[in-house]
Amino acid sequence: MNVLSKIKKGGLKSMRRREEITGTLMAAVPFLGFLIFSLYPMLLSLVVSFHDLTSYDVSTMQFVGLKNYIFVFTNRWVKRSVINTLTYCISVPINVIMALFLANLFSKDFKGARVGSVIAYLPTVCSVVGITLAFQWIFEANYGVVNTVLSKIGFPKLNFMGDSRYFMPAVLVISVWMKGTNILQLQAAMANVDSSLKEAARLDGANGRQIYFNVVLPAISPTVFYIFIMWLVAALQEMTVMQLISNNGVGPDFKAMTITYYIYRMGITNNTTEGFGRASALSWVFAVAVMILSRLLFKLSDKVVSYD
Amino acid sequence: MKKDKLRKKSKHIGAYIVMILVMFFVFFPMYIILNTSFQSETEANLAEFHWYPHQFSVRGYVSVFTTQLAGISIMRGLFNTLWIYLPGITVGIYSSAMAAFAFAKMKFKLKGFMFSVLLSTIMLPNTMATISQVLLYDSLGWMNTPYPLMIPLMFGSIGAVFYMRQFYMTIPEDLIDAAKVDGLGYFGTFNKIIIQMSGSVFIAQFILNFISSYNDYMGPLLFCQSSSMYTLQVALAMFAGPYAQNWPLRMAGVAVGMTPLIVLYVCSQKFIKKGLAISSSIKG
Repeated sequence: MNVLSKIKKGGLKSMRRREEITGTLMAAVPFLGFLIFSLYPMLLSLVVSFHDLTSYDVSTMQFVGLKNYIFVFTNRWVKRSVINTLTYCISVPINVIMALFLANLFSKDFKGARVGSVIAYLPTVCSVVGITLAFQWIFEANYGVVNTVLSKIGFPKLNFMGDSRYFMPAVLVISVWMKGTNILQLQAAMANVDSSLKEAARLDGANGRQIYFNVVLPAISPTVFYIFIMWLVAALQEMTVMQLISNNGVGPDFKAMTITYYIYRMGITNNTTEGFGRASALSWVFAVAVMILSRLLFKLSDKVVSYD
Repeated sequence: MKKDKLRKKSKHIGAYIVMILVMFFVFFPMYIILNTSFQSETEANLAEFHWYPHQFSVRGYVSVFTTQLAGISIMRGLFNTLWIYLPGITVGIYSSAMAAFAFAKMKFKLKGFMFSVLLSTIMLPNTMATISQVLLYDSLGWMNTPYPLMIPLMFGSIGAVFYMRQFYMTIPEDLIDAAKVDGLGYFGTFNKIIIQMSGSVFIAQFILNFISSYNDYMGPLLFCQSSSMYTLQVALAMFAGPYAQNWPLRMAGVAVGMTPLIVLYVCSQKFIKKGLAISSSIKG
């Protein structure tokens, strides 16, 4: 081996090593962010879940074993919050179907379709706080527009925010308004569908509806499943709308109490009576359930969805 | 031929009807917000709903802009939102881009591991992580300071990393090799060459990040509990409380709070579309 190639080899080696170090450091920043600001707090709350903690100061906690977990699995309010959360999730299939329908509509070639999709997406950028306040007014018991119209056409006024029967339907309307028009991702997926496939189907005599169901929908099914799972995971964690619409209360007959809102109330609002221990136990049980569910759904989607 | 055109038009009648319904659905709450915000308090609380303001009044807006409502000022909230989030978003985009470049173009042993960990965090329940963060920030003494909203953003976001990685993968290797010949290391190449090429992706990410930060409610609600620290969203929610029946005031606040983003959205259509199109291709 002559000297030149030896130097070259050494230089290459040191370049490789430099790349190794620089690459790791450059990629490390978001990774560290995740470790510090997501993983560490979650592990901390795992520890806290086996303790009683009635302030934020972790040093004051006292070990109680599985007490908090027993509370989570036996308490009837926790059960109610699970039922409320699942009821709220009815909005997810509605939103996905509506978004699919609208995405398809505005992907068609007619005048105004582009403007239509711009407007349809508008609710997605509106703030949840603003929209919830607006709907609180729209559904207001006495002077709100819905009740004024209802009474004008001879129906009794409905106390949407105060009657447990009408509370959840009103919340679902808000959810559909915010998410059902979230069409841009689906539209992007539809635009990527190979147009020669559609053309071939058209030549075979398929009509618009047949093309949609037999060509477009299978082709975008991975995106549809992905969106469904993401929206479901988000809906399972809903609390902002509930907290705002109930004016930081529990809603009629506890109906506003979703799981994360209950965690928030135990850990933050009622910290001194309920405590962070309970909140942590519930959030861990909940997080594990959500992660298992989303894993299962992705597994299922790999089986159902066609990737070719 | 004319008949054909007519047929084509009538084929779209259904589409137009649905489009009108969608417009109605989307604009109705916005119309109610504007309509009520220009009414007087007594008019809004009449048994008869007025579809347009009979006693036109801008008192709601005047209160929103000038007075401190129970120690809460909407304008202060807007100011807080901007100065707390903008530095975080800006630095965060740089961090995300740097990591994205490393994931796309460099070889290192931990690459696969780090990337798959980041990928798995998409499914992590966010709300729950946010509530647990209270413990961390309290132990750091960060409660009621802007740091919890600012510092984590600076580490970049996972979504932005994926998005920009997709973009950097399309950069030809020759370009990086040429930079190497010029004596630039990877870090230098990223800073001197790659960043200059990333204008449009940076803007797309910036806008998407700004929209979500501007609308963030849970974070500031949990970490900034003193009224001088309220961001716009929290200020909106909080000042609504003591003015429960003053709907013109509340709706004026909502209108003022939502308008900046709607304007930004309409102006930056192209970037938002682009940003979402690539991020939706993470899976499938």
